[in-house]
Amino acid sequence: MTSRATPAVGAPPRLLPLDVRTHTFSNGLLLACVAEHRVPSVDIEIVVRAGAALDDPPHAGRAAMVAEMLDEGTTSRTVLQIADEIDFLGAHLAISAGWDSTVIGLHVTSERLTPALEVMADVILHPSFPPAEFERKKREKLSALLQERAEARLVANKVLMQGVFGAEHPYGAPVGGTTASVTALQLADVRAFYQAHFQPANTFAVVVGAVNFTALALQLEELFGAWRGHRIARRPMPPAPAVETARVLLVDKPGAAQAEIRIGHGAPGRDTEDYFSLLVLNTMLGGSFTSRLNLRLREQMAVTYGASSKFNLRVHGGMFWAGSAVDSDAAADSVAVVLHEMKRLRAEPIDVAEMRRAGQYLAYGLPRHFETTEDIAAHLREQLLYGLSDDYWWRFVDRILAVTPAEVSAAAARHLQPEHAVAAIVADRNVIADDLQNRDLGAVILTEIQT
Amino acid sequence: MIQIPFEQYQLANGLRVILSPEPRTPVVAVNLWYKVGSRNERPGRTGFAHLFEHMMFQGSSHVPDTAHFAYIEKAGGSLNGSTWLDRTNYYETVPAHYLELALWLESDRMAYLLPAMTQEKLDNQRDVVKNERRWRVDNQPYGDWDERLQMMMYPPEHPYHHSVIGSMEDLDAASLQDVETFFRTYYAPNNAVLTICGDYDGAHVKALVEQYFAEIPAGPAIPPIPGALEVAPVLGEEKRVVVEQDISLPRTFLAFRVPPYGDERFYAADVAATILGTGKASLLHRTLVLKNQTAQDVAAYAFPIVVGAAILVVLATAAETVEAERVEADLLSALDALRTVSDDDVTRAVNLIAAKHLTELQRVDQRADAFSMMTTLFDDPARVNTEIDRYRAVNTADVRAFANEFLGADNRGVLTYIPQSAS
Repeated sequence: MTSRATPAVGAPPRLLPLDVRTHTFSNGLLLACVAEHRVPSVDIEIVVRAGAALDDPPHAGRAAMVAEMLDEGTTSRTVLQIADEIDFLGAHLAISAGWDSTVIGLHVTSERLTPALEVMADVILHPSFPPAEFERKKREKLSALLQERAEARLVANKVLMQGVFGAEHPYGAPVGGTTASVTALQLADVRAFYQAHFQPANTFAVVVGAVNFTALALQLEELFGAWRGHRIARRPMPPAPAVETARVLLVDKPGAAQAEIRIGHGAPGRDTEDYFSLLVLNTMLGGSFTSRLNLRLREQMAVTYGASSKFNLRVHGGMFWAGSAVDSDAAADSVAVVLHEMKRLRAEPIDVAEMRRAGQYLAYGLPRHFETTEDIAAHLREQLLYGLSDDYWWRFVDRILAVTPAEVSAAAARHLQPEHAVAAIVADRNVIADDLQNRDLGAVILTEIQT
Repeated sequence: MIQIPFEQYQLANGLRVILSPEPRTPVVAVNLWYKVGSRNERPGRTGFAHLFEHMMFQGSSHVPDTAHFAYIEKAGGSLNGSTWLDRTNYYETVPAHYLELALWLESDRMAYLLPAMTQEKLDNQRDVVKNERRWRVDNQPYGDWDERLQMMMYPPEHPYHHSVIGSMEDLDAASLQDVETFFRTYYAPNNAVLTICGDYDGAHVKALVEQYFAEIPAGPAIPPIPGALEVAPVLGEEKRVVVEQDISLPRTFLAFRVPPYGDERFYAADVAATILGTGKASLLHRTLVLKNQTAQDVAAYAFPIVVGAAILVVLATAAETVEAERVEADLLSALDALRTVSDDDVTRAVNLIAAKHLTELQRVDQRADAFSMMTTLFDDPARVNTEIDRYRAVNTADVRAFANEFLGADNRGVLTYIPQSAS
């Protein structure tokens, strides 16, 4: 009979460094390229270092709207012509704004790269911002926001971010904006954002796939060489408001089948020295199936399908959040469990075996995230956007595995703040409100749904 | 031309094995399809195949209760499973040197799940699944759309009539005896396909498969799918259901019975769905969203299911202030236009499908799943490479003929969600 003992394992393979070639054009546009000929496709990301972090709350949604408008028309193509050309080439063009950047991404077979690149360059360099499409996009966005009021999980996210950052901070409103801010958005605002921030010196291009570097650089020179611009002054981000004591923001959703719970607070920026320790810490807390939050809330207490946590680190500061969708009558218990685990990670010595499991999950899992041209492009983008070292990904495994229990403890002490957290709950108030009051989770504040 | 290399063979116990090398990245995907899904559930036990899938992660004779996930995550792998109408799959992607771990885990639960099964585990996972239902369906606007469409489009005796997630009542009724019976009936090597795709050692992989799976005895013959499997090619009428929910915008779903996946006419249905709903230039988007501005969003999808008939679904969410009736009228008008669809629309759709196909096959986990699917449903792993040719063979006349035959008033279910009237 076969031995059914746990199989032994050999040494892990190493992720070999990719050959990244770079070139800076005379206008400041940076190109980073990895030639990968084993698949006949190409992924290109053109990344503008401007995103929703630049939207003050009255203009929330502006960066996202710029992204939406780029392929709604150029000086030589209508929205349908753009879509048609891309679709016929079997290409995929996706444009979106995040907090720190706007990414124009193209996925296409290598043999169709040239015509697809032309369309891509056109939408970046010559968007025409047609008024009729803008009005339509505004209406679409406002309808979407209206629809989102019925989605408990989205409402919970929005209430949390506003609770943590307040109404005066760019991070207090979602990237897509609010009903008020989108209603107030003018086409002039959108154009002005584009003109101010879509500058060659503020942009980089990442190309991964079956390309020849020299030929590609020449192609990009032809398409983008005449793009002239200016340098952008970096704007500082206001600090997150201090949260004196923990509090619970409760949104009543009569008849809700579950309670969506979120717990969060501010976080450091992506350049924090504690980055690797935080990754390991978060994996332990809520970043994997075998994390504390998921095992406790799902597998032990069986009150949820899943629980998780994340440190969302941006160029300037960021947000920590933990969340789950739980049985309504377990909402208070679940919030308590999250806060309890956050406190334990600060108060108790870090268990070495638990830490190692988390570290290995991150470290040994890295090759899985480098399978496709799209994966590689995304990682190169992250490296360039956050100013990480050229050997960052090739050293990632070693740096994760080198994190110590003391470092995880220190990261928890510095960056987990259960006493200053905000909780957001979207649930049927009749089922849970009394339970919340009796739990010493902080002041309970009834909040209206706003999106 | 797609030419992904693979090898196929079968163990004496009936387990079909597909091996497909991919040395590019040092990872390997292990994928198992069991040919059992919600279609195999008997009345009063809806949702059982999915509940059973959860039980498969709770340990087996040589794998401690909570260890399955931990073993894979500690190895830097990802894993999951899913239940569908026609099948249940289990998959993990691990660093290449952990292949043996994955095979050990999969074979142990295929062979030795029952000794580790307890009432406590069943009760626990029942609660998890009920919460999954609440999260996916009950607490989501329009959340029960697929359940309602299945009820409308298939008669009660058809195995696709009930939902994959099942009802709360049936989940409550599931017993440990049910678990045992289900396992013995369906979870056998002769009812399974194992695919290994990635950076494995070609010299040793077969020996590993032999080592872990060969000793598992074949199970009894698989019973036929319960119920009445045949349905008329078209519904024969229009059915209508209106649901009031706590939502702001109405959403309309139209469903049509179409030939089942595998039938050559299914490909025309899938091309039609792409023409209708994929991309800004698609028929529904350019008409309802861009031109008429009566819809907020649109989509179209052909379900790739094999028993009796499949369904094609189109949907649109009304823009603010637009009535559901107007959206439905616009949808019907666009579907009508499909009867005279242009060559351009067909070419665009086929190009999009081909591109999507190629992109998906770039990942070893998706590639492995594709091999398992083609082997389970059609006993033909080569279809991974030839499937795209079936799409390329669809021409304008095919799509027009499909629209004429299947997208009429005698073959549709109309499901409309409207905001709750103020009481």
